[in-house]
Amino acid sequence: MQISFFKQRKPMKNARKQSHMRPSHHRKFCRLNDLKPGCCGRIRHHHSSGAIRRRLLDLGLVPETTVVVVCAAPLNDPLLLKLENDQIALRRREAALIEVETLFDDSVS
Amino acid sequence: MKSEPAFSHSAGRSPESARTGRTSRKRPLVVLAGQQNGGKSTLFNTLTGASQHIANYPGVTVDKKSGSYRHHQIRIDVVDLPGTYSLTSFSLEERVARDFIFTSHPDVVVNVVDAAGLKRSLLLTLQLLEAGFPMIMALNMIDVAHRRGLSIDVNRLEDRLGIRVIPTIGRKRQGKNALKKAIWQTTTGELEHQQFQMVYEKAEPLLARVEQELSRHPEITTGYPVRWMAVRLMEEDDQIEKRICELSKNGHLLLSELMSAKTAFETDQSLNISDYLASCREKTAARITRECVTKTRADRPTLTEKIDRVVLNRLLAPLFLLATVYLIYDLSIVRGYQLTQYTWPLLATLRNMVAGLLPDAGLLLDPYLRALSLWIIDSTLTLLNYIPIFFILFGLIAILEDSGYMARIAFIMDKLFYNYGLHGQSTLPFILGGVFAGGCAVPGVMAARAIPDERARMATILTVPFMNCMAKIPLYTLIVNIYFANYKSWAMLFISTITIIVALFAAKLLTTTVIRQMTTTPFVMALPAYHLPTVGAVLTRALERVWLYVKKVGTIVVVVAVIIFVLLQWPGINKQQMAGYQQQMQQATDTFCKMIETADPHLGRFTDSQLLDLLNDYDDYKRALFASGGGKGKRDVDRKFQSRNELFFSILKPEKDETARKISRALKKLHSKRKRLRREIKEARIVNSFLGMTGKILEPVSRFAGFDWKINVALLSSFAARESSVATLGVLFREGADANLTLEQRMDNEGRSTGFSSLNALALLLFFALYPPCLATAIMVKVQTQSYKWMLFSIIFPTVLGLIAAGLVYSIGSYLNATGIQMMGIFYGVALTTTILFGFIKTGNKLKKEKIE
Repeated sequence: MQISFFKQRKPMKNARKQSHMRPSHHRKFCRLNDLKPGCCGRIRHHHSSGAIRRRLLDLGLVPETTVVVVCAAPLNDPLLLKLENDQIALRRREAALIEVETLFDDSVS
Repeated sequence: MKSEPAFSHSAGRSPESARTGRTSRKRPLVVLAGQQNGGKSTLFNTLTGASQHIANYPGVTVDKKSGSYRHHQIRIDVVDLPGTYSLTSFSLEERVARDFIFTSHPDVVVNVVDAAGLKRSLLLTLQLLEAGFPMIMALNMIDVAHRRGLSIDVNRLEDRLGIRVIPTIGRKRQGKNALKKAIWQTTTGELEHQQFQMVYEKAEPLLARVEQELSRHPEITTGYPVRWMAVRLMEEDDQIEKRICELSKNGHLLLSELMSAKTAFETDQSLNISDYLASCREKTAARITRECVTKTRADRPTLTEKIDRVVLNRLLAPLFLLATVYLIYDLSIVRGYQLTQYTWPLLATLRNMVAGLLPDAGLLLDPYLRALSLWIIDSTLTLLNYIPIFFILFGLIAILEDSGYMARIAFIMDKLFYNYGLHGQSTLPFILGGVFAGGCAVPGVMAARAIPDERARMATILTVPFMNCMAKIPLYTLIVNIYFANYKSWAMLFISTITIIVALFAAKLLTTTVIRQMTTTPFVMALPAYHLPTVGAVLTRALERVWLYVKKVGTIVVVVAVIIFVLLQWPGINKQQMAGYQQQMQQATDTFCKMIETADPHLGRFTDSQLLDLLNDYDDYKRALFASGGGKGKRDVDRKFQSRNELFFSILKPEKDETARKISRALKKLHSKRKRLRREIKEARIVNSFLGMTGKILEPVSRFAGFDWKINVALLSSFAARESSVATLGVLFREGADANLTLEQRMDNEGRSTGFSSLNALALLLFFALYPPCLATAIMVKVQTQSYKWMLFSIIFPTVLGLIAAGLVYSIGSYLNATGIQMMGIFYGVALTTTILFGFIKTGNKLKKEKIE
């Protein structure tokens, strides 16, 4: 199961299609920047590559990790995330490259 | 980004020496490696104490902190590597850290780890273990982890990683001796480790194949563990790829072979190998954390989270930020300026002492040695005068950084700055540069190096000089007092905000044009937990930065002062003119001598040198009296001068004797004549100097902005140091100086006669606000960008921008027949609207290696 999150770009596209094709009542997927403050999501996969991907992974934004969106900055961007014991600031631009599974149904905007 | 060719020094070392770290170095070398905010620098300070210094890594602007300490009579060198999240080569810091480890072959790598964020820190630890150097882990900030209810089983962690783990609290110096002991035992070989080896499960067959291929090419792998290299190569590390192509004859062939093996593996297993390797490390780190860390109580909001709820609150955050910036401004600029009133007399005494050692002043012309030395001293002292201000400023900044609020400022401001191509971390350079009024672009440009985004860093470096540095303020005050006296507060508001507006405008302009192609990196940063800064750390940092400022700027100022001196002195006035002045002086001295002869025939005729001594004595005496502070000091001065020359003293301070008083009066007259002539010569010299001539040549161009040649000269000389603009104007507008009129009144009088209106003044004000950075800043731009091209650009761009702004304001203002204050309002409105509209334009981003699906 774990491995499917690390598929190459092409297979990953298919994986995404599949997830859209079979909508589930219990599992909802969205981008990290769509989560409202206070909501919680589990990272599914990254849509970035290269330096950004590496940096996000380095900071612990690794698939299967649970992220809480604490709040947004006063001007609505960047986002303040909490994962495990760390607080991480991330621009919406980059948050939009992370696909998450929302852990509460009503949390998607 | 330019950097040293990687691995350049490593050739010739055997792989064994790489792994064991035994080299021919005399002193043992310890490097501290760790992630940002892990308390690495604090631990470094704890280990090395005062014996440390900062330099740059070769070819790049990354700070290299090194120091040493003594243990068992042996000096041990310590180097603090830049904080990195991993050992890849994506960021400059990572590359620098990695290159340093592999070229210096440390005897011990101390991995400084944030105990509260063990899992994230372990990602770097696992990569460091792969590099194969003897390693110790410093489990730092263990107290924070305990406070959060985390209990870490150190013995089990040691067992899992196969290295010594020392719990430390850098801020409280706890664990220092245990760490030193462990380092010692590792360097002597007492402590043998069976270090943990990462297993990459599915990828092992592929890695084995790559290792096998690579080990056939010793020219590539010399100095590096083959395994480490294989892993990096599979993670698309371009530095390793480059190394293979450069060092091996058929490197391209080998590389394409390995890459096709990689692709085949990926298709076969349907996974991305680079992600897979990262996830393996992640899983291992998670497993180790799970095994070694237990939560002693349920999650509850930490103090940091509670503070953040208030400090990062949407409505309160801007208030806190404004209050902070205001506090910095008030404490450092306002209070610091008051402090300089106490420090300036000390510097003045120093100047007088040096002046006393130099050859005496001539009658009309001073010896070059004296003139040049005093010129250099004056330029240096102006700079040293700012030290109290900078000390407070740097101290406050250190408090902000150590407490963790600085990262929050970047977080709050990022959106605003990002719209203009800048970065949240541009806030600090702008504060240092002088957001309201008062700052200095030199530390501002220096601070810009912390910005990880290359394009935003360049934009920040080029726009920080627009801020109002302390040296711009005297000219502002002068002009506002003359031409905008009725609207003082409005004019000051205009000045302090227009610079930010223009800086944002310029940043956007640059990022959409000139530096558009530069790479940008995403804004991702960990916000550190709040800490109470320690007095020691703050003082050390403040002193360190003040010293850096003095060293960097001090040396430059001396060179610049000499250059400007030459430009202001040569070619100078011709012989005929000089002869004219000398004749006038001769007449004055003749009258004086005749007068003495008639008044007191016993004195006889003074020789020229005696007369000069008398005049210089007069100067010294007046100055000494001024500095004596009256009372006893005054009597001391009297006694000193009396013992120096009885006769002169009787003239300097005449008793009730009528003749002596007469002579004294005559001397005073002669003295003021000499002073006037000297000033006239000085002015004639400036007019006939290279700088003066340039000012005149530029007049046709500067006419559009309403500047005459005198203003041009002042502006040109202010390029050396802003302070001198007012001084130069003082010399140029000297009519009426003898009538004790202030410079304000003099400029006003002359302005009326030449038609210099408030509109001209506004144009001058604007140009001065946008004026290119002073030479010290320009040099700092060179240092930070590593390029003379950008230094030149940083000078030319604001000049053009300033000329356009000033020219437009002046021409449109003259056409509309508007007054200065009217045009000020119009310009402000236009600039503000343009800048706001500009913020909405999207900049294309060329993210490094980014391919968004």
